[in-house]
Amino acid sequence: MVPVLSSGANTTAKTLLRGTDERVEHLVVDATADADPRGRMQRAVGRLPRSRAAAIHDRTAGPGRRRAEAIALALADLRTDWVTVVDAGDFVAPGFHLRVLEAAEQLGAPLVGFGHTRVRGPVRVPEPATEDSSGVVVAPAWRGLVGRGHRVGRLWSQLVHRSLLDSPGAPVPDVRLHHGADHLLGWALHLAAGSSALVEVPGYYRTVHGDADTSEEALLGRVRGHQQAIDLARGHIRADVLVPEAVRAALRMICRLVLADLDAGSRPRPRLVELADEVMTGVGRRTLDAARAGLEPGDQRLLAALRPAA
Amino acid sequence: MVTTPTPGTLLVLVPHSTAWLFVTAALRAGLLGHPERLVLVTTSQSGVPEAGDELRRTLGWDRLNTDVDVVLDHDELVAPHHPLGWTPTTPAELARWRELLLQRAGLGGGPVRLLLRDLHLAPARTLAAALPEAAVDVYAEDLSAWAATPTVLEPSVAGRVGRLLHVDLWPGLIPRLLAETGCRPVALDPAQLRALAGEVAPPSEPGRGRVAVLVEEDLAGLGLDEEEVAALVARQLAAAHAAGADRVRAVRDPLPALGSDSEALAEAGLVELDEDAVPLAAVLAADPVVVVGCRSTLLLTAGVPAVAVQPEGVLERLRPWAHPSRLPLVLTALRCGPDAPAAGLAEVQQLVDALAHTTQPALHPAGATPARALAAERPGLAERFLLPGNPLVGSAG
Repeated sequence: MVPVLSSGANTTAKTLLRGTDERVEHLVVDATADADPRGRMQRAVGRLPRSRAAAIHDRTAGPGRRRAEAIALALADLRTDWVTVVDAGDFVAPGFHLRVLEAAEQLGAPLVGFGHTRVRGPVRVPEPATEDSSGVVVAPAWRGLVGRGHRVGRLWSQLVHRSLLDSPGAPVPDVRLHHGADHLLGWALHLAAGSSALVEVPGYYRTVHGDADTSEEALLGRVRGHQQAIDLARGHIRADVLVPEAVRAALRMICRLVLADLDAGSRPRPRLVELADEVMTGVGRRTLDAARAGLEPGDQRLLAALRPAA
Repeated sequence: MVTTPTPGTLLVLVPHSTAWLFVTAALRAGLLGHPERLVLVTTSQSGVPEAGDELRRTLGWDRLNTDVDVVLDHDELVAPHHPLGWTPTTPAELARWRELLLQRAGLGGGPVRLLLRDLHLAPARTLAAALPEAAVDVYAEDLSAWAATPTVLEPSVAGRVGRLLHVDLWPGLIPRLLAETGCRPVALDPAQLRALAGEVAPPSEPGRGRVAVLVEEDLAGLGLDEEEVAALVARQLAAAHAAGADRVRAVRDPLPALGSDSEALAEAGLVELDEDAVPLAAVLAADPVVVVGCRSTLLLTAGVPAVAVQPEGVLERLRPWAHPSRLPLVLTALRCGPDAPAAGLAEVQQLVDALAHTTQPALHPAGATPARALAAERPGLAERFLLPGNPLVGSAG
């Protein structure tokens, strides 16, 4: 499925077309604010075999909430055995998803996480391919959330089996979290999966846009999503590892937003300072130290400057 | 006629279908001798190769490649890296790359010649670096042949360049690409290119009427935003109808889009000509009354009336000054633009030399003189194409 926000549908559809086969079904969700006046969604649907279109209802919402609604809509609509998300603008190597699917079927795990390469600009700069960086690594689900930032903590970095989505108490996207919804859903699914695998297959390229939504509600949603992920991690048997990781992800997100303010020539918004304080006072000293130890030195200095007493 | 084979292997880099057509035409014209072995190395210059055209699906690919011994997919060798982004960085890596290349291309101990495009970019550079004993010829089947080399090449590569093969789109005009290496320009008659394109043309549409062809170009890569692209397309459509067309078809520019994935012509409701055909072949099959575009070389190679819409407006937006599309835009404006000034061969050469100097002063120091002369003798030409936005305007003037 391809929740589509604005541009990029052409590229994404073309790359999916290269790797698709008869087992794959596509649902193209129009989540644009302006009802796609250029007809990109319809052309994407026209290109892809076994594809159909859907559209969100609330086009007045911000992009994060529209995306969350598109994912919720698609999860409710699709009845395929496996589901994954491809964002418009992202692109995949031919056959990438099928390789992940084959690995998933062999392993019998209801969730398979895979990495993605962040790309900025027209020429992609993939991760270096070393001889030992490809293949399938079987690991507990929570391992996918640790040690690599949150690269597999989102729905566009995992393939999920229907049984996990249909299980009692299965997580669903909370659209009120705006940009935080897909992050939280990724964490919740990982933590809910009894077994899972990580697949080290390069081939998913995630386009980094410079025009992120910096509205107050989007900002709050992102951090609230991380805070809920911290709460989820507290109930997990590996809380000692996962809670600091979730705290670190939240703090890293706040640092990114603060840096965006500074880059724009503004002082960091007071709300960000409050949120940083909220996250750091919500956990114990040892957890906080473990979380901060994994941050980049620049982020550590930034947090110290935001909250000198911490 | 009995031909004597040229000993050894000719290894040719082919980044898109128009380049392949040019190479095939040059082989037929005898410009490349008669190599004992011929290896095509395919690659993609698309921003997203996965979304680009598959060269092997090009109409006529198998039919025209009967003399090719090996077709090697460069991008598969360097996957998952982007073909424009990967170069060997250490001597050990370069040695492994060479070994892989020799093995996959079946290169034994015999001599190897290289025919490369875009020598300043990977993978042309990496091929030249991997085979340091090979003689190098370069080709440019578009107007970039008259632009300065975009970067200063390493002496180990620049010193081996023997010839620049190009299409004779402006008879008498001396190319500036790689001129700093002292290479010899060799021109291919565009009629030979069109004749070959005719052999791989798709079937004509029945009852087509008076058709105009609009060339879909990477206008976002020239600095235009979505709204500006849509406005330009509307002007191009108007120009097509003003030229007497009652149907308009779209064809993609031979140069792959590096940045935007927008499909402005499809969004304007235009149907694309056969997308598996070489663009020139598709245009010829459509037998248009006019070809409309902005900077595309197709305007000059198609051999039919052509209109360039707003090339000077795009020139004003082009950043940086040394943008590789500057010279093609200028030449298209001069040949097909609105109110194109009358300029003789000597004046156009003066302008080309002056632009080569102002875009790459280190490579073309002698171009300062024609730049000053042009500003003094043809101020109208200089004010339209040389002076606006030019960072070297002081030295040019």
